[in-house]
This record gives sequence, C-alpha cells and structure tokens, in this order.
Amino acid sequence: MKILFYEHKTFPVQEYAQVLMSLGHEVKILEKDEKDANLFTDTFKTLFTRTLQEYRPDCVLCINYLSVLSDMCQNENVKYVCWVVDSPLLQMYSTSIYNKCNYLFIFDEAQYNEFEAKEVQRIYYLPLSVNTNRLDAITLNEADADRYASDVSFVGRLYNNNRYDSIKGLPAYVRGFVDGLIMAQLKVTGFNLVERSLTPYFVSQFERYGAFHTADDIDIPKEKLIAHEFIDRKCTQIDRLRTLNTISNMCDLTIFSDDNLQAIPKAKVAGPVSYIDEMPKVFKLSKINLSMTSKGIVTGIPLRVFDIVGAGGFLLTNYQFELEKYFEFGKDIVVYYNMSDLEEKIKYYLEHEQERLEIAHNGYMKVKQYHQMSDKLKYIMDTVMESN
Amino acid sequence: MNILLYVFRGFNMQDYYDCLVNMGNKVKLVYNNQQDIREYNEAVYNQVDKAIEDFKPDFVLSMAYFEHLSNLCEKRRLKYASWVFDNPMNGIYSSSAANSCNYIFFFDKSQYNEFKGYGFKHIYYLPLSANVERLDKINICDADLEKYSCEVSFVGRLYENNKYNELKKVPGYIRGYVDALLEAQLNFVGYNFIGDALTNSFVEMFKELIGISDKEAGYAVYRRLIDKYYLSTKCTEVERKRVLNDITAYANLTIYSDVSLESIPNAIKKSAVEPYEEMYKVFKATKINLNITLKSITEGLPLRIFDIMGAGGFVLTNYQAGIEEWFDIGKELEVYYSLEDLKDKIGYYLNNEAERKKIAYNGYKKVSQYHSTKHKLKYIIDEVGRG
Repeated sequence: MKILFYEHKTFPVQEYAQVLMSLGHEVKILEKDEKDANLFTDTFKTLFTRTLQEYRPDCVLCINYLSVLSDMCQNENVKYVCWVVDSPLLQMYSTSIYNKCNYLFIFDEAQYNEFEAKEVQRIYYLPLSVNTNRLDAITLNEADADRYASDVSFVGRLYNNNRYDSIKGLPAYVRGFVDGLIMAQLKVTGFNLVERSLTPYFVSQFERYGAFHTADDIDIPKEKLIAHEFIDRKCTQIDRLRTLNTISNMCDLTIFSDDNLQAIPKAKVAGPVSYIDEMPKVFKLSKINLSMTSKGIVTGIPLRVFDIVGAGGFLLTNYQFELEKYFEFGKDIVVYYNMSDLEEKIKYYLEHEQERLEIAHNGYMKVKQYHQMSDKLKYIMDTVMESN
Repeated sequence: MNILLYVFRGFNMQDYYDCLVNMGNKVKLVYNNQQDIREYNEAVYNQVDKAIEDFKPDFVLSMAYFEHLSNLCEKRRLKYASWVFDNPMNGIYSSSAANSCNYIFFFDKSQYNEFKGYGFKHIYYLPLSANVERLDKINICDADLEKYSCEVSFVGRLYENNKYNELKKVPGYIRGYVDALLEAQLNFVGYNFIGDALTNSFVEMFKELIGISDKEAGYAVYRRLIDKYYLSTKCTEVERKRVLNDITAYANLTIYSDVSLESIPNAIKKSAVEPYEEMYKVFKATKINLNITLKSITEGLPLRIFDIMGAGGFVLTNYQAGIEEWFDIGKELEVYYSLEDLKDKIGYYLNNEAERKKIAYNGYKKVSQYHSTKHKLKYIIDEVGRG
C-alpha cells in the first residue's frame, strides 16, 4: 500500500515507517512543523490536501486521532487510519469520529468499549508494541553504564504543568472536593473513580472558574472533560510525586525528566533521554524500571511498559487491568498494588538479582513474540486492506 | 459458673440471660439504666461492687465494652469478658483496655487485628449470633402474614442524626472534601477507605471545627475518630438513602422506621417494629430482607444478618469484607456488589421463590449449627475459664 504517514514531533514515527517499508509498503512521511499538536494552520491544511492529491496514498496513517485530518481525508476520499496510543483524546469526541474514512485502532479496551457503545464504525482494539529488533541491536559500553545505571529509574513526566494548577481563584469547596477525590483515587488501584464521582453541584461550581473552551464540534460530557483534562492529570502529578518520594527515601532513584524535580529532593536528577537512542539504555541498565500509568488511561497498557520490557529491562508497574491479559505477574513483570507493596517489592527485587534477570528475560520473550511492532502494523494494514 | 451479667439501657439481654441459665450457669444481673451509659455513675458501680462481693462471680460479662466496669474488675482481680458488637466501640480506646482482667471478644476482625497488634493478651475474634431456639418458637399466623408480607423490607435507621450533620458552619473546603470522599466511597461495597484518605491538613482543619486542640495523639488517632464518628456515619446516611431510593424504582420496598422517610418518597412506610418478637415476624414474612451494613464496620457482620438468618429469612446484604469466611455466598445468603448488581439480584430472587427459600433454609441451618447464641456464649465461657 501507499501510505502517507503524518508526524508531529510529539510522537516521532520514523521507526514505524521503517517497519512498514520492511513489510513491503511505500511510505511518505508528512511532518507538521508547528509547535501545538492540535492547532492546524491553513498553510498546513493546504499542504496536506495537496499532498493527498499529488501523492494519492491508499491511506493516511496517524498516531492518535486528529479531527482536522479525518475531515480532510473524508473530503478527498482517502482512508484515515489511526493508532490511538493515548487516553483520553479530546479530539475523539468530535463529530468527525463518525467519518466513513476512519479506521481506529485503540490501545485501551475501556476506550474501545466507550466508542463501540457510541456506535462508531471500523474501530478495533489493539494494544501497543515495540520493535525488539531495533532494541536488540543497541549495545552498551562503559560510559553508558556510568551514565544510565541506577537501582530504580523512572523515565517520564511529573505533570507539573497541569491545567488544574493553572486555574486561579477556585473556591474552597471546589479545592476541597478535588483534594478529597484525589486522595480517594489514590487508595484505589485499577479503577478510575474520578469521572463517576463528580456531582452536578461540583460541576456547576467548577465551570464558573475552570473556563474550559473546546472546539465547537467537540461534544464531550462536562464530567468527562473535567475529569480527564483537569483532575486526572492533577491526580497523576500527586501520585507520581508521592510514589517517587517514597522510593527515594528507601534506595537510589534516578529520574530522567526535563521537569523540575525540587519536590523530590532525594532523587538523583538526570536530564531527559532521547526515545530512540538513550531510553533503551536506561531500561537495560537499571535494576528496576518503574512505570506509573497516567490516570487518564482506564484499563490499557501504556507504551512505557512495552518500551521497558521490550528492551529487556525489569519492569515494576502499578496494577493496570489489561496487564493481566498479556503478562504473568511475578513471572514476566512485577506489579504493585499500593505504597507498602511497592516498598516491599523494591526491597525484595533489589536483593534478588537472579530472579530479576529471569523475569526481565521472560517478559522480553513475551513481548518479542506477541507485541512485535511489525506484527501489529501488519494487522492494521491487513485489516484496512481487507475492508475494501 | 457464676456469671455477673451487666445490663445497660437500650440493649435487650434476655436472649443472652436465657442461654446462660439454660446452660446451667448461675447468673446475676446488674443494671445501668442511666441516660448516659458511658458516664461513671457511683450508684451503679457501688451496686456492681456489692454484687461482686455477695455473689462472688467467676467473671463479669457485658455486651459492648465498659471502661469503668473493666477498672472495677481490675481492682477486684476479677475477669471481665466483653463481647464487642459495634464499631466504633466507645470506651475501648481508654487506658483501661490494657487491664489484665479483660477478655475482649470482637465481632469485627479489623478491631481484633488492631487490638491484637497492641499486644494485649486476651483478644478474640467472635462473630455475633442469634438465639435460634427462641426464634424457632415465633410462629406467624395468617394475620401476621397479611400484616408483614412484602417484597423487599428494610428494618433500620437512616442515620440522619449523625454527628457530621450536627456540625455548624462547616468550612467550604471540608464540605467539598467530604462530598467528594463520599461520592468516591459509594462506588465501593465492602472496602472502606475514608479514614485512610484524610490528609494531615484536612485533619487539622477538622480538629479546629470540632474544637480539639490537643496535640498529644498522632494523626492516625484523629483520622480514625473523624472517620468513625463523623464521616462513616454520614456516608451510611447517604448510602442508605441512595440504595433505598434506587430499590423503590423497580420493587415494592417496605421500610420499618420511626423517623420520617421524606427522603425516600416511594417506599411503603411502616412504624418501627417491636424488636423482641415482631421484628422476627417481619423477617419470616418478607421475601427479601435487606441489610446495609454501617460504613464504620470494616470487617465484621452486623447483628442484623444473624437476626434475619436465625429467623429463617432470606438475606440480601451488601458485600462485607470477610463474609465468605462464615457464609457460602449464593447458597446461604446473597450479597450485592453495586447498585446494578442489587437491582439484578432483587429482580432475580423475587422471581425465583424456590431458590430464595432454599437459600434461607441453608442459611438458617448454618446459623443454628454454628452461630447460635448458646454456642458463642459457651466459647466465651471456655476461653475465660482457660486462662
């Protein structure tokens, strides 16, 4: 197939393109060179439409869903294929989600069920993947060991700049409600209670202060919007802060991030690492790699899990519903359920190297066999072709 | 054995007295009829002291725990057995809990674990009971059936008079925090996290609100206090109203209660039943007897479950942590895990009489075999006698 692959710097697609080419497809990458991932200038729109007309692809491929692209594909009668790798995506609440050109591959089963219930057509459930061939080829030298090795590492964001914190003048009732809800959420594992716990009174109060404007064609319930865009992210921030502080009090913790880490004073601060070259080295060289799922992801497995396990790293992650479908806990990966459990497991696995290495190996074998990027991309392309 | 049985206002001890006597014990009763049964009353305790001297009991027994009674027994070097049937249990956090005379039997495993953890010696886990032999003799005639038959019944309080509702001028932050916590908690049946979800700054604010300035105790103590006395009772109120209102949308629900039921407009209202006999007729004549456990009971089964099962009634209860340790779910009683589940199960059991009756019968057999008051009191006597 001839594929036009849309790229924005928030998610580089070079590797996906190469795998597609190795599967025999012809791929052209079109990069949107604008800072805001969701903002589309007329210049880019013109470029996109012209490329569709001149290159005449069989489909446009895109990581995550962009309403503007779907509409343009619909106009030009080109299939629009997305692999949704993040949740929630506000753009998916656009009316364009019903466009006939759309093919949506969704990594999160809860999200899949939600859109299936809304009778969106041509949607498929597809967990994420890694390209183990690339990761296998990465070699380590002594300088890498100095730079990337640690007891426990965390690669990721701290959500310091979340939208909730930027709201000014919130009344005490609203602040109390959000704090109480977040504390409750942090007591619960594998179940997001934020959206379903918002009362009409809270929503009416919040609305007056958290001015949230969405594009005109976005139709999303207010509770969902407040939960996803504000509270879940604030909750992720508090969860990460608390978890990382707990760990840094008990062992060496290195955080690879470009966020401000003053709030975690005992952690060793390393700068951000590049996804392709550096991140896999961290995963290979850390004794324990931590993954904390962002609270907006209801049941799905975040990309980070596959990144770590696919690189042959030992993974310790929060419990997430779909993990149970693909991994054996304690054999392929290790899962924690609460703070004291996390502490016990870190202590145990730092002391049991052999077990750690076995688990990392088992996990790697499982990902290599069942979550290979080439297999998943082949499934996407086969599904799109067969639908003719 | 000679047993001094302490009787207090508001709790009928007849069944316990009868069982002890029928087992061949000599039982002397002492009464505390004071308005405030917790307060130290010299007349009451002089009477207890005199009874100890005259009657020379082998031990003193009470339902619930009384700190002054424990202190008196400690002074008299007499064993004091208490069977704790409520959570929170007033007086149990006093220094008297460490008295060596105490034999404390907890109905809630979380209380048992807590006190076991303090290193006290005679701490036991003992679920509650029913005096099945007596309940067997309560017959229901046609007139009773006419009077008490219904689809779903609830005998109990709505907890509208809770300490949280009594608070004046609750700051906005606390109101918001509590509202959110209750909404979150109500997603869960059988798992309570309210007390663990209070931040230190919330606790400080709440202490100020209820006028506690003392800094002696740690945050854990205040968390428990705020949870058990204020927030869990408030949560019970909200939960009961929500559950009961939900049921009225799809089934005939009869509520036996003395308070006004304005907040549950579609329920069939009947005045509170006399608790010694009439209540059991309700349980026998009702198709589905509902139990909604107080939120402050963490890992225990409330007396109501035993009341219903001992009377041969069919119980549908909220899932309560540890219930499967004692009863076979779906065989001896039925549990619900959410509002939707409750609706499904009420619909199912209203339409399946044979199964309902079979479950009620199995439940009755289980209670009469393992949870009769007689059995449980024998256990207490044996344990106290042992050491």
